[in-house]
Amino acid sequence: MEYVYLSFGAFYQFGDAFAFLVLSAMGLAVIFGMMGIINLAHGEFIMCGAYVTVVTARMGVPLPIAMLCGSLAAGVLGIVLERMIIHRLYHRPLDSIVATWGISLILTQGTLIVLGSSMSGISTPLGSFAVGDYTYSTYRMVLFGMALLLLVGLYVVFHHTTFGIHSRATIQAPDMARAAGIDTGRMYSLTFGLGAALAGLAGALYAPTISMVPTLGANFLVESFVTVVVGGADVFLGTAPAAAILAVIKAFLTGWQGQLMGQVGLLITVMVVIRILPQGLSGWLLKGRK
Amino acid sequence: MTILRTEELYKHFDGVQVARDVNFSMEAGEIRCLIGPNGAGKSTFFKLVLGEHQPSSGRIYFSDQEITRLRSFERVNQGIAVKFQVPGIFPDLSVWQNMQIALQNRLHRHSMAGSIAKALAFVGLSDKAGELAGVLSHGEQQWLEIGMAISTEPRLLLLDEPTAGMTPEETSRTGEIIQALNREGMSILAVEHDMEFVRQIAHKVTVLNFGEIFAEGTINEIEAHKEVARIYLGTADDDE
Amino acid sequence: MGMSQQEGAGVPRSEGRSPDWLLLLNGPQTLGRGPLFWVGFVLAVLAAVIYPFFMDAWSVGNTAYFFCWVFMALGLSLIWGYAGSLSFGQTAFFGLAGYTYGVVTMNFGAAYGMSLVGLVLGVGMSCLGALMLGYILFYGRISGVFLGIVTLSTTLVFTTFMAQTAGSQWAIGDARLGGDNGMTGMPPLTIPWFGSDIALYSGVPLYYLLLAMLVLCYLCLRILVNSRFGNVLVAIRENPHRTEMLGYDIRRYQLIVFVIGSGLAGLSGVLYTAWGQYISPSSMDLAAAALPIIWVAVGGRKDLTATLIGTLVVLGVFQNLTIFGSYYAFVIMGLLLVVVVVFLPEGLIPGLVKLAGHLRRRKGDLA
Repeated sequence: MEYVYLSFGAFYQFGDAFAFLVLSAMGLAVIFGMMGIINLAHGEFIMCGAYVTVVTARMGVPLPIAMLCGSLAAGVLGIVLERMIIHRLYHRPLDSIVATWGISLILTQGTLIVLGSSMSGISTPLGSFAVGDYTYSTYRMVLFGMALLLLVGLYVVFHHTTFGIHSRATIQAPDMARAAGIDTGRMYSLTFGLGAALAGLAGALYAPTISMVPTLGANFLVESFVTVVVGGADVFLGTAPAAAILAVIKAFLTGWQGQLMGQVGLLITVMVVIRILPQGLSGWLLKGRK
Repeated sequence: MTILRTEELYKHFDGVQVARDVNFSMEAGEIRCLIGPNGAGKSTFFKLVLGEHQPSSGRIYFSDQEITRLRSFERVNQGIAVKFQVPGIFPDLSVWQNMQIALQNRLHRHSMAGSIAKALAFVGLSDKAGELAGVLSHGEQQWLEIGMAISTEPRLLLLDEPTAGMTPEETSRTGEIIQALNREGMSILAVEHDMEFVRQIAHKVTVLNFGEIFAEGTINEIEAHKEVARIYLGTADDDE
Repeated sequence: MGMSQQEGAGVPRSEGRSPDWLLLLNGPQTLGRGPLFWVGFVLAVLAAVIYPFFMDAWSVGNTAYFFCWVFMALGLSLIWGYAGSLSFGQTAFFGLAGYTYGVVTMNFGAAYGMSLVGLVLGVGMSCLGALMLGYILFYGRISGVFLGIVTLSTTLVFTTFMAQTAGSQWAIGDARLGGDNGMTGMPPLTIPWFGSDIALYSGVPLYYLLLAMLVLCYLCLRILVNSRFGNVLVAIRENPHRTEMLGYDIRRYQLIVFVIGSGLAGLSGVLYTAWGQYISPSSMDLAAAALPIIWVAVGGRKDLTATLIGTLVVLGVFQNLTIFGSYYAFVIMGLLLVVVVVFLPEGLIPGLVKLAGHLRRRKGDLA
């Protein structure tokens, strides 16, 4: 029986790490996969989602709705930024990384000015459950489920909706898409907004588990970067399997040596993977397909 | 002496065989043109020779030295130079500086100014020495790049569509430059689509199709070859 | 003559009997050549030399503080502006060197020139770290945005690591790493001297030392970037593939310049730590790591002189803004960065130089 309990424990650690990696990386992966730019303001979209969720939840709105509000707010912020600044930098990927860092600085420090260095948060819902001698947070298992649901949902969106199909056409062959009448400028805006909303959703979902400080986005950065780089440009062939593999590494190292070792392990993994698979997992998988 | 030789060269990508049992051979002092329909694998062959791709199997020899395992810059230092289709100049640097970077690897500082001037004169760009390379016309950029490629005094010069985008006068001039280089002993392998140009310069022609060597011979033999016409144009039935 | 880069750029004058390296002070990779520029340069240095006679001690010490940072900015200009590699690792090497200095001097004191040993070891540690990280990056063919991400991640992980070194078990010899609070109380740079050593706390002597180091560093870097090595660097920036096809092992050049640039960041780290007798992880966090990028981007990353001037100007502006609150200062900095990157990607100083060139040409047309 002890064996079953330990296996569940390992599964829980894996699920927790997997959820964190997938949810952190999803928004970044969508934007990177579509436009090839790395959005360093990613952490701030997460922060926006978290903050809006907490504020609306404290006003009495039921938590799931509050989370949707958070995600939506981040999405709107994303579209606004894209229209104002980002769309000027599509042909300059290195400059876009620097500019989004500037935006990140403005948003973080701006929030520090307006809302102060911390804000009261909300508590983790759903309590805990026990398996054998160990107790686990129910909410974290829910997050694992949410991560899976989100992957499925995104797959449906990208493969079975007009938006998704147009968006994939724009990714693969922007000139052809334009020739076919697709408004690629709008595609980029909407996709950027989607990426921002997904980041906001990550912030919203993790809001009950973290402290509300304007720099909270930074905690998600290393994991999201590493997952996107290891995964490559495709969300489904890349981010998901990358998150699975990295979750194993992270869960193992965190359980053995703590949070920091987990991050170090991720960093080492990304350096190794870039060396062997410069296009990430999805690049490698796509090559071997035919 | 055989300047370039490949043995049983294979390469596949994404499941597609882009080079299939290629046994290529070229003598020193030759001007060889590589032709074939789009997707035949001409650029891939170049990249294999240069080391930008590693072959799936097979060997490559330059002047009887095996270079299959050498990195690109090492092969260049052995005496191969390349000019790609897309002008590979340094747009934000001056013409003089472009040439200097090509030469400085080999020459001592004090003799460099003379060599740079000589190279620029050879391609007819002496009066543009101080300009930024990015403002040159397309043809001038191509010549600058040829100048940079030859300034290293290679034994084998690889040209990827050297006359792409050139006017007829520029094309003819390019042909003259290539023949002048060949007279001084340089071997040249060029990928080309312009048949007039091929006729002007080529000693021999190799035809690639689907990654294989389809035919080889002088330009006259190739033009008379019925099968070559077919792979370019399709049969009469396909034209419907 | 003057500050024009386009006119006559890269066509060398006839080489006289001056030594080669002296000629390289002028060259295609640096703005400003000719008598007018160098006279201006000498005047600027003279002004800096007599500056302490007219200012109070605090201002002099503050200017010395600014000088500490310029080395890191020049290093980033080298790596990013000249070689085209966007590295976010400068602050990590800054911190690594600073902590190394602290560990050495807190264990061995500052007498007998130990603080200078600390300086050398600090810079050495940065160079070593850069060698290892750079080897993985450049020989692994990592470039572009991925280079930025991996170096940023390394910086973040290193910062997080240092921030959790709070317990007493986290000590190297007598030096406790101090976690989030950082390390404090290490001795300043101390020059061994007959009689009593000269401890360089923030003040006039330290100012002169830093000024001398800065001038020397600037001149050496000018020679470096205008040399053959510098030519290859800008070629790599403009077209790495073509550069390789001309027979250069570009990985070696990228690695060397990464080590030099990171070593300069380390020098900044040591000098900062020695200036204030303090180092903490907050000098490596995301906001702090953005600052060198901002100085270099705003000043003009592709040119040493532009970077030098731009860094000092932005530092001054930033410090004045912090009077209103450091958050506001950072917001303005972020705004500045976005505006410059989008509208003036070459940086303010080259932008101004071009503008001056345009105006002069217009006047010439009207005359």
